[in-house]
Order: sequence, then structure tokens, then C-alpha cells
Amino acid sequence: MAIVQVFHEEDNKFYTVSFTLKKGVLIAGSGVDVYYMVVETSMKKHDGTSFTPFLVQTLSDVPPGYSAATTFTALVQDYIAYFIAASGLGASSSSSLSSSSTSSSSSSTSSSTSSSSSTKSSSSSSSTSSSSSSTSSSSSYIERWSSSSSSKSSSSSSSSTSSSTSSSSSSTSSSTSSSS
Amino acid sequence: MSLSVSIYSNANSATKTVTVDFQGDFLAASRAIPSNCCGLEYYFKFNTSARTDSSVTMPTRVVTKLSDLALNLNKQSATNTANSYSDINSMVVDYIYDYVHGHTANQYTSGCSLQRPMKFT
Repeated sequence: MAIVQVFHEEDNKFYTVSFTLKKGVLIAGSGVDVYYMVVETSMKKHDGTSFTPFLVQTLSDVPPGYSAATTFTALVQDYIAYFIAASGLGASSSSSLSSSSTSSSSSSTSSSTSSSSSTKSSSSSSSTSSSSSSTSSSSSYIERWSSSSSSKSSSSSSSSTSSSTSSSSSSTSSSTSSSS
Repeated sequence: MSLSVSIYSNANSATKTVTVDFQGDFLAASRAIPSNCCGLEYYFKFNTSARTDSSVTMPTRVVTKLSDLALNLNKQSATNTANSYSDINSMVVDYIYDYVHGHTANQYTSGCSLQRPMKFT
């Protein structure tokens, strides 16, 4: 299981994107156990609702609007980019407004502020559960959050939907169990 | 959280385990460091504490893409094909198959008949 942490500097929060390998019988499958991956995130959509977990079976199972990935690393990056954009955490045209307003409020810090806000490096703090190594780097996405922040807080009680497609099966000679 | 796959031997009444996980790390011996992600790679990791029939530790296997085939990245283990795996399921199944049968080389192209299967005794 890989858990990617995305830091949103505007509200000083970490969001997670998790990639979990699972085994089970898929409703739309052939009735036998298959290995697949589920992608989930703690980010919320613009309307404050949770993202539906994504089922990944091939490298073509990418987020909406993305072309097929060639590696699992690229696949992970696509999902992170998609969640950031779809949740409204990513940089947008409003980012220039926020940076300019900051610079106008304090002339002494305008140079440093504008330089930092101009970078749009992608987010990327990540850590893995099985190994203790973790890396983090700063993300400089500027949110356009004013309208959606209220809906986000009001909808925080909505629980994320769990994948209902997995179930254990012992029809094969090998059995599988999850361990943390 | 990882998946543990148990493999049972009827002849020996013994069970061995292969662990499969998806995780992200900096790979020291990375074959291709992505240019846009600081070298961090996401991959499937196969591991087992089982040994071969000659009591040699079985190596950890790393899969970064579906074209990483089990036999020296050249062939699938269960079938004589160089096609990429069609999905995650077929890749996982084939790598576990490879652990159990202990292929030591790209046997389909080299003609090598030597196998070092998993030891259950």
C-alpha cells in the first residue's frame, strides 16, 4: 500500500492519496479472484463530496482525461494531478490574484512572495507504509478555495465510500490475507 | 498493508508465503529514474522468506510496469510469450508462479532447463 501525502500550504493541511493492492471477486468480473488496485483520496470535490474510489486493473485505468500510463509511477502521478485539479487545490488563474494581493499588502516581502508563488512544481510529499522511508517536498499550489471551503467543512462528515467489490474467496489453491 | 499469498504443498503438507505490495520508494538500482518526480518510483514488490530447493534465498522482485516480465524481463513465466501482461492480476499470478517454480533464467530463449523451485521441506 502506497500512501502519498499532498501538502496544501494555503490551509496547512495534508491530504492523502492511497493506492492499495487488493484481491477479490469483482462484480463485473468473471467470478474468480483477481488482483486489482484501489485508489482513494481524502481530498473533496468542489461540491464537498468525496471522490469515488477508482479501480485499477491495467495501466490504461487512468483518471478521466488522461492517456494510458506506461509505468506505475506515471499512473500514480496522473492520479495525484487529477485529484489536485478536481478538488480545486491546484493552481489556477486566481493564483496570480492571491500573489499580487500579498505583494501589495507588504512591499518588503513582495519579491520573495512573488517568486515563491510563481513556482508551480507539483506536489509531492509521499510516504510508504511498508517501508519507513518517506520523502517530502514543498508544494506551491495556490488554492481557489474561498467558495468551496465552506462546503468542504460542511461535508466533512460524509464518509468515503469503500470499495464494495472486494470479497474474499477461497476457491483457488492459494489463499490471501491482508496484513498491516 | 500488503497481500500475503499462501502456497500449499500437498506432498509436504507445508505452506510457504509470498508477500505482494504496492509501494513507492527511491530505488537504488533503478532502471529508469523518472525525470519529473525526483527519482521516486511506485512499484509492485514481491518477497518471500522461502528458499529454493538448494536452500538459496529467493530474491525480491520489483515490477514497475506491466512489460516487466518475470523471466529477466523478457518472457512471462507461465507461457512462452514476450507480450506485456494484460493487467495487474495476470502479472501478480505469473510472478507468484515464477517464485513457486523457481525459474533461474529466461528459459524459453536460452534453453536452460535448470529450475530452482520453492523448497517446502
